[in-house]
Amino acid sequence: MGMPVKKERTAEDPAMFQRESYENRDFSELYDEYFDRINRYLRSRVHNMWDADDLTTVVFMKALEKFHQYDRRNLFASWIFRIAHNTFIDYLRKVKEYPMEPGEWMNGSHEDHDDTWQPEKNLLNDEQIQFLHKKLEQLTQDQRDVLSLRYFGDLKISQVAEVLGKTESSVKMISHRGLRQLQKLYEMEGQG
Amino acid sequence: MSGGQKENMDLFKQAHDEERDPTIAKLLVHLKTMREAVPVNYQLKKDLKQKLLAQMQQMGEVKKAEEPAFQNKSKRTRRWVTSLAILIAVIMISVIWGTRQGPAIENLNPFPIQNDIVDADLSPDGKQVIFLTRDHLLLYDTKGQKINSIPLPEQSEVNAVAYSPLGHEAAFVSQDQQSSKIWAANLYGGAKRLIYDAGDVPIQSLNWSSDGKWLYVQKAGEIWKLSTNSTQAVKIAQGLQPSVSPSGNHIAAEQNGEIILISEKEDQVKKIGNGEKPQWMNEKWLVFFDSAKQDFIAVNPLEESIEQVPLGLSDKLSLPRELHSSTNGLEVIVICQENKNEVSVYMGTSRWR
Repeated sequence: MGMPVKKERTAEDPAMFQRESYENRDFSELYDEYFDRINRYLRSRVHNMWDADDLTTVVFMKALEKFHQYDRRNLFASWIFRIAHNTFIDYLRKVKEYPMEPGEWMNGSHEDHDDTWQPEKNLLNDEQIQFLHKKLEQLTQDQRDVLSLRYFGDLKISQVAEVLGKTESSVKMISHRGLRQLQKLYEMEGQG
Repeated sequence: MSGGQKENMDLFKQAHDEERDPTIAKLLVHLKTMREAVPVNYQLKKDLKQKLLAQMQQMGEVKKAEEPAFQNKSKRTRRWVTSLAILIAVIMISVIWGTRQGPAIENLNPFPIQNDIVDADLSPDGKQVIFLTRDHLLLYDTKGQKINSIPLPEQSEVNAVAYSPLGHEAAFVSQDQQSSKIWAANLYGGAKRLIYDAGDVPIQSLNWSSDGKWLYVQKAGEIWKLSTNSTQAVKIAQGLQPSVSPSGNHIAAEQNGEIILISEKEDQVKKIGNGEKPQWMNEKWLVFFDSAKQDFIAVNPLEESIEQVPLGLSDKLSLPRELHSSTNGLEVIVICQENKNEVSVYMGTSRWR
């Protein structure tokens, strides 16, 4: 993919453990690092990208407001994603809708797209993403939460557990079952 | 290794058990690819950071954040403070220099691209350039590294390209024997959507409003604004090559060889001077091409007495044709018409008084 190239620290980066014992960066540096992950996570969950961007703004405004409460001995990722997830839950309560409406993700409504003009074969297209969304919709709410935080928020199991207030073993189990179920759904459609 | 680190490594290993499961390895790669396909709103990132920094200053958060760092006396913090001091010094010098010197385009260098270019535009953040060729949209970073290539419809002529304000789409015009169409292509996914079909009336210029809701275009000899997410189309006035100001309050255009300023809300038209191809650099400065002087002229059209400041590009480049800037007006590209079929692109920086 041709996304702007920026190396993000991910759950696959063992070097991060060396640094995360005490978080001594200021809010501005943390914002630079975490904006992309939070924005992607919310864009992957919310009905449309405009709402997702509004929620991203809300998350960082709340985070700045409460930054003095953040215990620097704990992981910032868990702290900011807890705010993001709670903001997302509040949003769902307000609009009385559920996430990931197929066809209205990322680029506005499905009707906006030109179906007569196929994109280059080697590039990802909205169809694949919408397909994934339809399949995620068939999972349980817990499975969606865990897989979204884990694979779109790029969090570790322990961090997902902190965000959702569950035990790590429980999150691992939900993640495992969710992935299995998703795999089955893909296989049923011949896209596994 | 400390106890804490060992524990973290154990967690790391556990967390990756599922990745080692060969039956779902392909699914995990797919999920990772999907994650990377979700576009990030970099314009929001930039704007929100400014807002948060302003709020931090109000809250005194900057000071609080610095104090413990000074106590730790870490090398990282010292470097940060030194960099900040240098940055402030550079900004102050730039401001003083800018105040003394007025608007200027500097540090021009040719963009290293070999393809036949029809048109080009600079991304809102000034970090990427989109090139329109006869058969592709080519996305490059400003260091000359190709990022993406999007094929265009065959058997169509293309004539204009414009970055959307969020930077994830580019609008362009395709024209075949039957019709002239405006498309918006997703620069990262490649999908294209039809924005407007003008039938057999040619479309020749594209300019997005800063909220991304409208495209200002030249349709034959008229200026129109077209909704980017509905079929709404509004005729504004007679004129060519419209450019809308960042606030959306003013439209600059060419009318009978003169640059005019149209205020949509107040229904007023103000004449600026002889020229063509007007382009807003920021809310204050407008640049247009004076064919008599063969140079770009910068003006502040909202002032009562309009001073024309030549940018002197004709001394540096051969046949400069168009100027496009980033949202902050600091980065620019200059498109030069080397000959009838050949266009070259230069990158540079700009400063505004």
